[in-house]
Amino acid sequence: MSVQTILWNGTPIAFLPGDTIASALSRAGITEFGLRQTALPAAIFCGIGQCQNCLVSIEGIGVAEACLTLCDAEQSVRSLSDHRLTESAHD
Amino acid sequence: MIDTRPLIVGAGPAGLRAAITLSDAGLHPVLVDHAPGIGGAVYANLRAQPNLTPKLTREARILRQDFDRVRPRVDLRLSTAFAAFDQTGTALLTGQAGMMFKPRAVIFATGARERIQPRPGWTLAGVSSAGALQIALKTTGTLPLGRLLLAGTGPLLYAIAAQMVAADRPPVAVIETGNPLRHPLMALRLPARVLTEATRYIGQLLLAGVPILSGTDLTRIETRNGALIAHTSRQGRWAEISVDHIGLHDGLARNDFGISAEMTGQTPVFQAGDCRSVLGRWAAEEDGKRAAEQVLHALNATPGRAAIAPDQRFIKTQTLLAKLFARAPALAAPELPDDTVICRCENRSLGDLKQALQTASEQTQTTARTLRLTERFGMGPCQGRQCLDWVAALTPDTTSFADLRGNRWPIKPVRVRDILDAPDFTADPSHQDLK
Repeated sequence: MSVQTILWNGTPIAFLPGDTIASALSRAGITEFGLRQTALPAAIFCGIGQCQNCLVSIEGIGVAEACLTLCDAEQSVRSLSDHRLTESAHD
Repeated sequence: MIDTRPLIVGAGPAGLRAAITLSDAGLHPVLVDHAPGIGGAVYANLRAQPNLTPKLTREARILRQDFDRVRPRVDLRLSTAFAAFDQTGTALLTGQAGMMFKPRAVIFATGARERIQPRPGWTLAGVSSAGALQIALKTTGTLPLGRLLLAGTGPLLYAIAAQMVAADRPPVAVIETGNPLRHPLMALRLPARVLTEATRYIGQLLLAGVPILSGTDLTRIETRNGALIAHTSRQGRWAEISVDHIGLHDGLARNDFGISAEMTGQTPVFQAGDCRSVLGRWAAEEDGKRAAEQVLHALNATPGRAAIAPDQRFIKTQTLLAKLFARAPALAAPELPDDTVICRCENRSLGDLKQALQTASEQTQTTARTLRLTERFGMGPCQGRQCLDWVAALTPDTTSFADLRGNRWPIKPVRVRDILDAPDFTADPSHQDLK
């Protein structure tokens, strides 16, 4: 079975079946998913979709919790801080 | 003729058992959960991939078998959040299988949330709830890389620590503010199945040589050379532990934000499981069945039973556990420095809260409303789930948890596109036959 990947801020990250974006990033040693608007780190915290601390921008979905969203092959996932810097204000 | 399907929010033990009970009575419930699989937090291994051959407990196996049996009659909508309910009886579901419809009855089975005491450094990446580590383990069989530490208080910490041992990733230590192992006689009064489980967990930890540092506080966390440094305090003795991940847990609370019955108009609404009363998974399943019977009663489909209080045995167990895990008397009250973040979403500190109280007392009266509107406590995307317990505890003369929290929709942040995309079945005649 070939390794499937998501693209985290453009970099391929391997994932296993059943991985959420948060679990795939954690296994790759990535604990900080960019910065929140407060400049505190975006990261997994509650793990059950309540705290909104792990929000990321997911291709085809929009802003969502990394802890609740399953990985999809070749899906582009970006940190919100990265997104704010690189995207224009309107799409 | 019943023309609208009942809605169950949350596919943990209470929600699944409610769905099974309604289906067995001939109804076709809509079961919604924002997670990508069934089981809730406690049975999150029900959504693990088959290749992990997850070791399911007997209860989890039976629950899944029963649910598999009724599965064709349940409209299961995963990766889909319940967002709101309006006074006309319209429920809004958003996400992968979003829709708007008019359920004739609603059961909220939204489970529990972890209480996590604010500490300096609790906002650092790598510091999460202990439950978040457990869910990663249950659903993927893996944990984040590096050294793990568990800290706080409560029975769940030991369950998680033992599961980490079983996964060959024992935590560096379990730091516990109580002295649960010092009261063996009290512990013997626990129901046999609770005691058996607890003994097994503690045995696994002792065999694996995991230190249980009881009567100890994790007072603050900082980063040093890429590692997390946990500072502990025990009766005037201090220590530092260097790790890569810290799981915090200071007990459980009802996850009942935004789901009070008075907000749902004429539609019969019931709460089931831990969101009604935090009594654990066995009680949750019984309560899910009870809520479903109340729905049947309300819809006159079959004789049901009136609202009943949860089984006293479960309440006694929780009372006893709370005593066992009481904070060690010798432990000083935690002294938080003023720059401790209280509200994570809006980055509001203890100092901000103190200053707000000070300024307000000089000028005008402080209320829950002023703490929210001018100081932003509880106004971020988590809607106060992480901070309002503590804001209320820190301002006992000013406001209460209920006032601070309020009740409002949506229950969680919703993407505008999801609302626009949700098919509207509130007036579609083709759906009149669904019951």
